[in-house]
Order: sequence, then C-alpha cells, then structure tokens
Amino acid sequence: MSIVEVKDLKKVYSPKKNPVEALRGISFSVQKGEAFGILGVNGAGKSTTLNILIGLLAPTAGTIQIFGTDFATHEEKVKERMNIATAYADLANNLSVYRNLKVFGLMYGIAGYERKITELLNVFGIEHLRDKWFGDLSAGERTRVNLCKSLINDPEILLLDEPTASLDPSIAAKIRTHLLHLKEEKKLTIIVTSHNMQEVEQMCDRVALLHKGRIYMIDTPELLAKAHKAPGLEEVFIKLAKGELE
Amino acid sequence: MIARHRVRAFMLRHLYEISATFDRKMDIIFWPTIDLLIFGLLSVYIQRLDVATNAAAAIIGGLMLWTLVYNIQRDISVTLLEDTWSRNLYNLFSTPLKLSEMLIGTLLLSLGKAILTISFTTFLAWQIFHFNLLSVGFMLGFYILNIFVFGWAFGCFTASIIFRFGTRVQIFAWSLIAVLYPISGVFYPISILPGPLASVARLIPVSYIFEGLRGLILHQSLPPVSDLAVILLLNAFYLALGIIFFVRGFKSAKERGWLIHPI
Repeated sequence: MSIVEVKDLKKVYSPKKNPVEALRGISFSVQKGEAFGILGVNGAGKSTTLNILIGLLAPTAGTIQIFGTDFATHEEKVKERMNIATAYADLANNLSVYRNLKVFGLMYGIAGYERKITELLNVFGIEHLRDKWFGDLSAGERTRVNLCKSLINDPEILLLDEPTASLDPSIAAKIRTHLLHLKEEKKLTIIVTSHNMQEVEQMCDRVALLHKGRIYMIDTPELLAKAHKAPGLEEVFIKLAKGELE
Repeated sequence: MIARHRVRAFMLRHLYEISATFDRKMDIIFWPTIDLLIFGLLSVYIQRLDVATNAAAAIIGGLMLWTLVYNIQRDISVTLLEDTWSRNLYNLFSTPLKLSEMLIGTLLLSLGKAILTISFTTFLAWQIFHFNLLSVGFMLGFYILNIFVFGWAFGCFTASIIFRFGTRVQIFAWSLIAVLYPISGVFYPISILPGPLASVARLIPVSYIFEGLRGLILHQSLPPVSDLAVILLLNAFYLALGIIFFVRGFKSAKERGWLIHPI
C-alpha cells in the first residue's frame, strides 16, 4: 500500500512575472517502509518536491495523498507523523541544543521528551553538546542536531534533504546505519535527496531521476545502472547531468 | 598614508547598502522628521495649556501608554524576524504548527512582556515623578485592553509586510508605527494638528485613548461614551484587517518559497 501518492505535481515560481517551472507534473508513489531516493542536478526540483511534501511550499497544481489522506486539507494532522532533516535550515542560534530539541519535542506533543532527547543525543554521539548554544556548533554538529530534531516524534515518514552533508564519512556511515535500522525495525519510510551516490545506492530501494522538473525514470539503483549500461548510479547521474539521457 | 581607493571602496560598499536596504534609507530621513514633528507640536501644546500643573503628568502618562503600543506591535514582527535570522522558520513550519497557533503564541508573549513593561514603568513614574498611573481609575483597564488590541492589529499588518517583502523591510518592525506617533495625540490634543492630519487621527483608535487619558489626568473628566464606542469599533475593524493581512502574507510566503529561504 502506498503511504505517499503524488500525482501530476507542478510548481511554478513567480507565475505572473518571469515564471520558473520547478516541477512540470511529476507523479510517484512510495510504499510503507521503503527508502525512496530523488536524484537530480541542482535545480532539477528535488528540494522543491520535499518542501512541498512537508508543507513549506504551496504547489501550483497536483495532488498529494499521505497516509491515505489529502495533504492539502489535512496538513497538520499528517505532519504530526512526519519530519524532515535538511542541510539548508538551522535551529534557533541563541538556544542550547537541549532547549531547541525540547521546543520541537513539545511542538509534537511528546510526553517523554527528556528521555527521547537523551536517547537521540546518544545515538548521534552528541550528548556532550547538550548545553551548548546551537549558534556555537560546527556545521557537522548542527547537521547531527538537525537529525535529532527530525526523529524527535518517531516519524513514520522521514524526509531527508542532503542528510549527511558536512559530516565526516565515518559519522555519515553511522547515521545511515541507524536510519536503515529504523527502516527495518520500525518500518520507517524515507524519502531522501542527496548528491552522494553511494549513500543513495546504500540506502534506497528505489530512485527517481529528476531532470528539469520532470521524472526521467524510477527504478531500483541496480536496474537504473543496468538500463544505462553503467557500473553505478554515479555514471547514470553524470549522463543525466550532461543531458545525454534526454 | 590614507589610500583614497580604499576609502572610496568602503564608502561605495555602504552606499550600495543604503541603496539596497530600506532601513538604511529610513535612518537618514525618517527618524529626524518624526522627532521634529513630535517635539515641535509638543511645544505648541505646552504654550497653549491652561492647566500647566498637570501637564507633566499628562505627558508621562501618554508616554507610558505609547510605549505599550510600540512594544506590543513590535513584538509580533520581531518574533517572526528572530526565527528568520536564525534560519529556524523552516523547521518551525515543517512541524504541525498552525498559523493561528503561532499567532496566538505571539500575542500571548507580547501580552506578558507588555504587562511587565507597564508594571515597571508605572512603578518608576511613581517613584521618580510622583505620578501614579493607577490614579486614572477604572478607565485605565479599558484603555490598556484596547491598546493591546490595536498593537496586535498593527503588529499583524507589519508582519504581513515582512512575509511579503522579507528582511529587506525588517526595519518596519521598529519604525512603521512611528508614522502614527505624531498624529495619535500622545502628548497633545489632536485638535492642534493641521486639518487633514486631525482627520486621519480620528481614524486611529489610540488617539481617543490618549485624549481620554489626558482628560482624566488634567480635568478628572470621564470620556464621552461615544468615544469608547468608536475605540471598540475601530479596533474590531483593524484587528480583523490585521489578521486578514497576516494570513494573506503567510499564504504569499508559502507560494513564493519564502519560508524556505527567508531573505
């Protein structure tokens, strides 16, 4: 059963003056417990898709069904069971890590938020940052706190926009392992965009190749590579970026 | 040795800043104009005043209530700006947080902060100037309540402008209300304003509040009931308008992607 169903999604920025078509009618569905990757060059529409799915951006046309309900009319209810981690946003700079996470714990109505925060800080190896101001953290530390924030409500759907950007390879691998553990253990559904092809190959069951606001192809990483006679996704991605697959 | 090219480059950098940001332009003209208007008109009023003995009390009372108007409206847009500056708006609005919840939270915050402010300034005025704002009597409660409503309405309007035009107009959070400062009768009756400005003043609910406050302090006279009705009607109208602007501003921000890249 599809947990996310996107149909003919379009997004046009500044439709009256200088219209920019970010999404030109994309459709896809994601199954419960699946890790679904969205790949594409800069400006392909990956982040636009995620931002629409989390309700930060209004689509120009199209429908989104999440958990079997219309996202447009039940946005708040749906968002209680989702979360997002992005490399492109921060938490409040003048609050400690703990207080930031507490705000989000309370935002999602988590009763045992203190225990949850401690658990997440331990999982991501940042317990020592608990009382540090968010504004004083390094980029990698911020990314890990953002990941803690994204799991504070035990989401059923997790959106990840460049989740391991600015992380050391060893820490990034540890985080991928944890996310895959959640996927297996709790049937967590993951929708991820990344420029790290190995990450996508390791994490994703299926991948959508997005190009100029359209979906070029959706398949497993292995079959995508095979269909393009390429050893891996990276080569497919390069061909797509060069415009050889249009 | 001063390198002229570096001085020129530095000046040019700031000239670019002035041409690019509205707040820098405001610094040059806006505040000096406002100050001139206020103190000029205040002098005219003091010259005409019959009951000079209570004039200071009337001015202090006016100033205290104006501070309340200013703080309440500013808090609404500054709350929005704080999350904009720290790029936290994205994470906040990716939660199930509703716009109405954000608004209520902001209004309550402004309420708490303003109560602290008015309590502190009342104490200070009593200690330093021997002016007790509470001596105004029961009308003070009505006035303060309506100052809150007007401050909220104006704050919602300012926040809607920030939603639409971003941090380029963030100076509005502190300064837009100043447009009303010289014409709201804070320190002097609106009757001394030039004709067209006096007409505009009659559309501002707080101008009736300052007139009423002055009447109570200077003449111990209660305001006419019609004035109280006008305050309530105008406030209801402006609050509805402020909320409509706020909601539309948010909708526009969501369509343009401003919540993702709030600049």
